[in-house]
Amino acid sequence: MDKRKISRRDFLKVSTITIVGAVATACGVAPTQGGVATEAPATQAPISGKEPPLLRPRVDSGELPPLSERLPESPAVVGDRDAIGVYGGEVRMIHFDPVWSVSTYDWNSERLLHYSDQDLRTIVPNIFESWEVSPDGTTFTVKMRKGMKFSDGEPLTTEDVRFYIEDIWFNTDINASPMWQLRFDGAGNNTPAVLEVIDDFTFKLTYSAPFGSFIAHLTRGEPGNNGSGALLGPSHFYKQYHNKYTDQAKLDEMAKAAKLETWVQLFKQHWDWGMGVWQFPAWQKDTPYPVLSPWHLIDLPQEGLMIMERNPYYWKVDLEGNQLPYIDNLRFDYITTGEAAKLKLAQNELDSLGMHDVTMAEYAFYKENEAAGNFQVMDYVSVMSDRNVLFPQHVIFKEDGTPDDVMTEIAQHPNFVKALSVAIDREEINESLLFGTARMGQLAPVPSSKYYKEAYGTAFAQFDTALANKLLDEMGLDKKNDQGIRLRSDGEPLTYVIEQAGLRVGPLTPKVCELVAAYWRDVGIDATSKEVTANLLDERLNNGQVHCTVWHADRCSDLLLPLEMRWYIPTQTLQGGPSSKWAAWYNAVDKTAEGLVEPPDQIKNYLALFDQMTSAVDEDERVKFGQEIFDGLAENPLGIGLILEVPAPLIFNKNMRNLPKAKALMGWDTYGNSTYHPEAYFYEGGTRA
Amino acid sequence: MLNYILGRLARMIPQIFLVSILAFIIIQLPPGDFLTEQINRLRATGATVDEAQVQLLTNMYGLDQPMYVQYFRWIGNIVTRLDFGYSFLWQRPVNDVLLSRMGMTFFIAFLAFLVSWGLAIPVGIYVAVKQYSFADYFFTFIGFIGLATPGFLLALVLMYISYAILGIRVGGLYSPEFEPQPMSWAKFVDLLKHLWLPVIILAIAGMANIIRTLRATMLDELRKQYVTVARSKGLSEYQVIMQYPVRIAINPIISQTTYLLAWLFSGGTVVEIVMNLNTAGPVLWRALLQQDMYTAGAYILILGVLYSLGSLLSDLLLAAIDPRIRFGAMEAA
Repeated sequence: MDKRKISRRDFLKVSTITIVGAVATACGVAPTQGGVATEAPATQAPISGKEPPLLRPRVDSGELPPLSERLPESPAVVGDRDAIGVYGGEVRMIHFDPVWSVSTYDWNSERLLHYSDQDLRTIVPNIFESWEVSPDGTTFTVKMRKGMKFSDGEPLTTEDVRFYIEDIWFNTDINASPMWQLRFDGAGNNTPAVLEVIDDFTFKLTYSAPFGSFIAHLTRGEPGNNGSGALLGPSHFYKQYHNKYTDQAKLDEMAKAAKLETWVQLFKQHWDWGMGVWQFPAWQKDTPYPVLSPWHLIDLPQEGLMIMERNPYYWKVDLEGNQLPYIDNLRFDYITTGEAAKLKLAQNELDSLGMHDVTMAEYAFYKENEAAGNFQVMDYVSVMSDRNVLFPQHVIFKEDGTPDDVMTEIAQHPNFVKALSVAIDREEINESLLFGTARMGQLAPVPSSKYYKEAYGTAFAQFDTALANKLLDEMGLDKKNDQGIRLRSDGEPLTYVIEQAGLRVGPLTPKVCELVAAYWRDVGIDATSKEVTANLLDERLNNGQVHCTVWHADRCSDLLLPLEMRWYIPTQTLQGGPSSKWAAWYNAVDKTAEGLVEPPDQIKNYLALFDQMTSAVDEDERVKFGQEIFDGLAENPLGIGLILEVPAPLIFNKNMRNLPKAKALMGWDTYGNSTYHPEAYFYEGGTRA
Repeated sequence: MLNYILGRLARMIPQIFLVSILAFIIIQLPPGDFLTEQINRLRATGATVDEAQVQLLTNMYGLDQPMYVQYFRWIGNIVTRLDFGYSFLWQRPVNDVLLSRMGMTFFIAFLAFLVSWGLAIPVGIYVAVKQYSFADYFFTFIGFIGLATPGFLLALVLMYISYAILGIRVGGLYSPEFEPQPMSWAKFVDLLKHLWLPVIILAIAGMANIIRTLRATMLDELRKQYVTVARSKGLSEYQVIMQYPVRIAINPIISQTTYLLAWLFSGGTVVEIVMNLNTAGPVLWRALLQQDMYTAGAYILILGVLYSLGSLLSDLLLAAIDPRIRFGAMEAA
């Protein structure tokens, strides 16, 4: 057995080397400079831009105004690309789920502000043209682009902000309470932020306490989205479904026609609670939803098949003043399984396969079919899918809903997570599942993050069975039964179940969990892996009935980590993190409510530090608070990371250019491709290979 | 005969009522509902959804009502207006979602049915008459492969062969370039190019069963004295076989129509998923996974009704072709 393992390992090493070599040649696009939307002042903005050929006939026929009238006074300029592109072509993509169209945000989303893709650290203007923060970090004055328009030609003004905040977020029929970013006060009292509209293009938000990470939250805010810092949407569109602006009788009639019961249902259907512009429901066929993104939906020939076309009012240009995007159409096909996606790929029926759909585990398949399928496999760094992390839960309840004191005591003992962590042979996982391409390590920020320290990535990430046994013995788990299983303080054998949502988490997850359970059995823990549906898992996590679970750790780079620390400390329930029970306590407005489990002081200290991170105005100070948390976690880990860094082999058509440079971060933190300006991607020669 | 049909129809009513209750219970069985699923997704993206918000949405969708109230609201709309409710998943009435795909599902299944019966019945008769011949062994072999291999595996293997060896594009119902276009002659031809594979896969699975059943019953009948008598009277071999034993041996095949209708509707689901066909199967599968309760409920209910209808149909067919059943039923009535 051992002999076989070694030979397989050697084989994989050899094949990895050839594969890496192949990548180097495959990424033949000479990366000159990565790009950023350079913010050119209005005076420098080019004026003699070209009209995209697709739109020319419509302009000539008078259906569309000329380009100069469609662009804002100071359009956003996307510079620092490899080349000025050529117009034309279609990108074929897939999605697995008609509601959660994750592939769509990857290419086609615009956020209020975003991170520059030059350094992934500087926040640069996007929908908002500029902003000013008062020195105390409580007041934010934002300027919008004059003359900017939605895809239907209607202007974007502060009215769209006012409506969104006053008539959606603070309307109690629609929202029980607004997103927390509009009621943050650092003290948990939910004091609402005050909006002041200064003129058509300037508004001011004032908070009762410093909210240092507010601007960063705007990099997650998509127009029309629900939560994550969304501050605006097309008010002229929403108003026709809102009872403050449209006659109640008319609304009732519309609701009835749509088989809904109340105007709120009708409104929410068009507001797309939660999904924003990601979702493309059938009503769009009759009532197109106005967007600010590079492409807009023009046809739904059948459910699940979406055809998008360039947004004629898109507000970004290249350095020569050509209106973006370069690519004319996006097309999304509804796909049933991952295997069907692979088949489409091999048959040259796909032009882009994004973050959610690629995995290093399929790397061999990608390389084999690269030539026949006319695509290029990229070498990015994943901040998402393959990054499996184990989350031992720290508060455990029995199946009957009563506290499991014995297991909770074990789970909270500082030795336990350490022992579980060092019992895992990470390198073997790397070589057997990931072709040896990953850099293994502890749950930590990615090494390129300013929060990262070498010690975080290596803390208890070594493979040391002796140490694991010693740690377990020391915590009183030294007695074993005749099968070699350790006995708990009540004399029962120590069984430990990893409950995971399988492929929903990632293509590797079931295999990773099998391996990990085997390592844990080697140190005398009766560990097993069990796959359950994501729904059931969430419910069981909330009940505290799960011993240990797995999720993929995004939120590990500077783009998102300071905003959402959920994997490291219990800030949010569900999916993963140290304990949903503790997170429920943290999120509760009334801390004395029944059923809440108060975390120990150490954890409360972490949560207080996180609040300070949110509040801190000074960036260095924020990093200092964050590192204080990570210092603590390096000493006493709460989660068990496996992978510190792993490639993300995104796939594009062979002709596609202006793609992100090799080693670019890719995942939920970067909103998929969207941080890297897919509106400036283009086909060499205007068409796909 | 009329009494028999009426009595048979009356029996269906409580049957379908029970099926509808069962369908409703089944869709309620998994923990959580579509709403919790959606809320979990929301939370996963970083949005904060508090309990009051959940409550608001629960009221809005009527999910806080007792189960029997939800049931009667659901079944009431179906019985009175044939309205299967609203699909949370597709944000459209369930009727629209299902009807647009149901046609294609039935079309594929109907072709598969024609192919499998058209081939299986003659072959079944032939192998019984020529027992232990080469043809018998050959078709037995093919038949067992069809019986023993699950449809999805057959689909994967055939897809691989057509793609890797024959170089034919597989998967889907249309080539991508035809997909968004309205129906035309060229598109129809394209459809046929994609359709043969799923039809063969579905047909093979159905064929094996029919061949085996027909062969067994034919063998029983061929040994009976009335066959010898018919032969001794000098009837041609064709007449001997077709007029007597086949008419009896066909009975078990007819009674299989009980399952036929339901099979037409659901039999291809897994194959459809594997082959990525845009038919009813994958949509309903997705609905079940994501607890889109009204779509899933419609699926289970339709399936149950088709079973009932199928068994009615097979009873009537049997009565029509087999006088023994007809007279027996009349005496009982």
